[in-house]
Amino acid sequence: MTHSRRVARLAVALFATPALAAQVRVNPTGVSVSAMNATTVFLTYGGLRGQRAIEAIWCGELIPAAPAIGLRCDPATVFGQLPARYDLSRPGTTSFTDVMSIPASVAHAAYQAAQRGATSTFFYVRRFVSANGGPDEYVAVTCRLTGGGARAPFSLTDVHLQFAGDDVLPFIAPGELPPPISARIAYTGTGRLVGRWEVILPGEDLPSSRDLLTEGSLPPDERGRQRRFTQLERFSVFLPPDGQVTLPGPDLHRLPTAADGTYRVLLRIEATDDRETDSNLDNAGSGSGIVHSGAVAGFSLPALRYVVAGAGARTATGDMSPLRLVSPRDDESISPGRPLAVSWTPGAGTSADFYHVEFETREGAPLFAALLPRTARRYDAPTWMIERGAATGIRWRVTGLAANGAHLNSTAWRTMRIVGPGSQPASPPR
Amino acid sequence: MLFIAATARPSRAQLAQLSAGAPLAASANVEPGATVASNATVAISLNRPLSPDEGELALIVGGLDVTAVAERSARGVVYRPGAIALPVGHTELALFRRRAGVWSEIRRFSLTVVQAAGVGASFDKNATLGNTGQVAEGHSQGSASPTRRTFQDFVLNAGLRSTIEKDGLSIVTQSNYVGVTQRQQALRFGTLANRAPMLDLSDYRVTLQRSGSALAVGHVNFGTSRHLANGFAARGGTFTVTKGATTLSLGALNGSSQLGWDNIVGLERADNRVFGAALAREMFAAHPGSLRLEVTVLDGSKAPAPSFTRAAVVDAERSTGGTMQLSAALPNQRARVTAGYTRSRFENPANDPQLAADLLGRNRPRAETRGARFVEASMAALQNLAVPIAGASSLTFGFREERVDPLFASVAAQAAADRQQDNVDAIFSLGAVTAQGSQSWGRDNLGNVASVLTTNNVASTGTIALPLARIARIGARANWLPVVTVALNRTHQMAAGMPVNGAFRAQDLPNQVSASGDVAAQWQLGRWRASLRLNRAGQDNRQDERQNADFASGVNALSVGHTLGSSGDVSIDAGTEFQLSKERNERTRVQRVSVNGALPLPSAFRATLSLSAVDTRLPTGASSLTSDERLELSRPLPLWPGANGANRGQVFVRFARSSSLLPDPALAPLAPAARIGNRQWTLATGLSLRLL
Repeated sequence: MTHSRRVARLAVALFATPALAAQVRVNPTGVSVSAMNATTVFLTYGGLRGQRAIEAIWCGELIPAAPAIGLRCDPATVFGQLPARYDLSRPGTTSFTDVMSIPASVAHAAYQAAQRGATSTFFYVRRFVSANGGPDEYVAVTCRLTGGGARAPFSLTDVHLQFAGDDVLPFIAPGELPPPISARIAYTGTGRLVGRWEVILPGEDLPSSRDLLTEGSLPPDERGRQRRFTQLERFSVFLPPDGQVTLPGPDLHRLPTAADGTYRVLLRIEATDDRETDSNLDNAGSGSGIVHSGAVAGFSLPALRYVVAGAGARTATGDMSPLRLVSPRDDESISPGRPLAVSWTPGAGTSADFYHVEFETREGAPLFAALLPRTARRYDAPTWMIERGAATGIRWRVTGLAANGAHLNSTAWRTMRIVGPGSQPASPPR
Repeated sequence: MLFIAATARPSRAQLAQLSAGAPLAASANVEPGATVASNATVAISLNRPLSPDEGELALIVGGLDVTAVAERSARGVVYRPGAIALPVGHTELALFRRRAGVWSEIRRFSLTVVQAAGVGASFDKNATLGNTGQVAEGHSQGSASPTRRTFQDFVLNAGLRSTIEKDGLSIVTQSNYVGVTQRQQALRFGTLANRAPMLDLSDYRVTLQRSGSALAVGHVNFGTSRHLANGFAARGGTFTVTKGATTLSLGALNGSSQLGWDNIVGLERADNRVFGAALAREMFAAHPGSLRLEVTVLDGSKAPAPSFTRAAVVDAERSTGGTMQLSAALPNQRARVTAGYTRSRFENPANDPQLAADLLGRNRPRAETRGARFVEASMAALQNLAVPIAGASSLTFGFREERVDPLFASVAAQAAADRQQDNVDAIFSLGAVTAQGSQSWGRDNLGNVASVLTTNNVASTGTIALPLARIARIGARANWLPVVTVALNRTHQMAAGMPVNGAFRAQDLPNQVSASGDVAAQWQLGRWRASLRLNRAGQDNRQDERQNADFASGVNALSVGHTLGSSGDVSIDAGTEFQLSKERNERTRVQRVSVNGALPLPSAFRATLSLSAVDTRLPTGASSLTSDERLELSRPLPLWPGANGANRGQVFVRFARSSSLLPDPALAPLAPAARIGNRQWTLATGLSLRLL
């Protein structure tokens, strides 16, 4: 169908059936959404007369809903329906709030339709059913395909809490620091992300899934009423229209680790003022004023758990926070007879009890090794060891060991080239 | 040099040598050539104390320097093998005197070491039984009643870990478990609800390693390709074998990280698993890193469910693809370049019944094969160049180009599709001052779809760190000068034009400048620490009919902390935040203060205190005030202490109170200042007992 025919059809639908004009209104009526990724929008419906919201469907074209009221989706252009797992709608007496979470696959389908020549707009249509035998009403929101940056609603579409970049539930010994926490967040639009890190202590009743929603996803009368827990830190950061950010977690020293038990770190996000996520209640016919819903999200935020238990239960942290070699750099030239110090850094939270520093020839023949305590960060190698490896070059690495000798994590090998005339070895090798 | 067996009686002549300045001689608790167990303690004593100007002792056992983990004194060294046993067989011990990098051998002798019973294998286990309960609760009228006013719950946390090493083969196992008595506390209650097991598997990993090869099952990760499989971590298995300069890695993983007994190897569900293979080769084996080629292929599917630490708007996904990545560096590492190209076929299969229902028909997105590429290079123009007065200086330039086609995706990596990004940056250090700057240019709608909005993006960032004391070269009272960091960020995003047939109006086309600036100062004065942070950000809309829709926001924050001995700390944080909508002249203001403290008390008690208050003033209506107070007292229980003297138990009592004054939505139209007060308090107790 050509664009002009679709517009004409839409005009007929809008103007030729005035008697069936929709009474239920929505705000915003149109939004810019990401063509490649998910987008979430807070919607307010007003003018309800006891109707009940039923399904919500995305589609490429609208057709008259007669004998029902409004415009409904053309069944031939349906892209999908709002999955139940993202349905955060909340009924009121005369208003209804909804959180439209558009999966990327729906945007992809609309994009492919646009590639084929269709218009890039698509629609989100909610059906309302009358409780007293009246006709159904359909209310549509227009979605425009964009890059999802500026002018798109400021919404969180992916929140991934991690310990040192890994999905783990670490078991740590009392008093030990867990690996560093971060939140990898994908978002649309731009705005200020305001919130706080909290922790649920052992013995505290757990929050409901609604307690874990971002504040911007809640109807206005529920805001500020979510359960709060022990606050670790507040944050307020401005997010440019980049789409991705890694939010650093709280200061690890503030995480309680003295008492045994399971702890849950929460990311709490507060609603901020974002023009693109505003719902104008006057326009929606559900009151007066504007509801700000910056940082809306279509899901409950995850809790990041860690368990304080005995040493035997510690999670191997090799994948979470690998050791890193510092110096010398890979393939660096060193001189025989000169002092050689190798250094490394443990990943934060690494729980190695010892470090094992190994030196080998480039062919892998062992030259020398050292066993060092957990506090060590460098080792001064004997100069005669360098003489032993002068002919082939030397490679070295560091391995973190548990108290029982178990390998927790190892670095990759680094090599050193021995160049220049050597001085007399400080101690002749035997 | 003189060696005396510890069992021999010293002669009169030998005793005469014990005076200071006499030649050093060493005696050991074992005879040379003796047969000892691999866990035997080795003690070596000197005939006289080593004076400080003679250096220090160093002990090498079987080529392993154990000095740092041995018990050292001026009279000798005692080494108790722990993490690493004495090497079995003919083992040489050497005692050195080490001074200013010069090693002087005092004595060398050999032992015959035999495997000690139990050595070569270790087994750790741990189990902690915890009781936590709420013994009293109170809340104000109108506050929601908790689902459980009082309760007593029990939790079991347990872990097992073992290591076996024999004939070059090492087997390491590790697993953790959580058991609860209340279903809502179960590990998988969030996904299985009432079907969640009360005792569940948190994680496990089994690793078999032999020289050059490793097999891992459990929580593993796979892939180093930016656009295809980038550190993808989940339950599954990986096998890696290295031969010479070539490494082959195979991986079979679940589609997302998971917990629990179900799907124990992570590969049971065909719609939620990923298979991959990666081959890496150092082209010049003698110069690893100089030229490295990596090829990765991947095939996988993901169910529409994120991992247990992630929440997202997700779809069912399936992708098949391959990538080639080449990296090269000069021998001195001053220039590096990495480039890669990925091709991936991606689709959203029809196995998401919640999304599809019976509605989709032919409108499901089609499978697409698309590409992604990147090139990044860096060059150190200056490296540790000695600059008069300033000190060593370095300057590194970087360049990055990245293009990801529209609709490109892989199940094991997160790539921002439909974007072209070019970036240049520079990192500069001049003595103690370090600075970084970057400029990037971006564009989307690479498919040039006429009805889709095209956006251009220009972003600039700059940071500088100024350790003032080092810059001013102040020695005395240097701690009074802070380390100051400044960060600036500016992004200009604008529409390239009006899309055709896209239902866009002029005000829907972005032309927005976002700017953000941060200034922070940090002090460390002995046990005191302080930080001050100022942030300002603005959003300047320039498109038609939106010129006034601008925002300004900012944060002022102050933090002061004091360390109390080895186990105590007190900190106070205070700050103000604001957000201003210039178009509506609406200002939201937040004032906050929090106090956190951990204090050691007499009789092994420990107090933990947490107080916070937040006052939020909205543009209209009443302000809201929330506050939280928590005080916890804990104490170890001296119940049958373990072999190392550690206590096996702990008890705590915690009082927590939350209160809020919030605008009353019911009365807001009539009385905007009306507020509702809510208060809740709880008294909780806990007891933990380490069983193993």
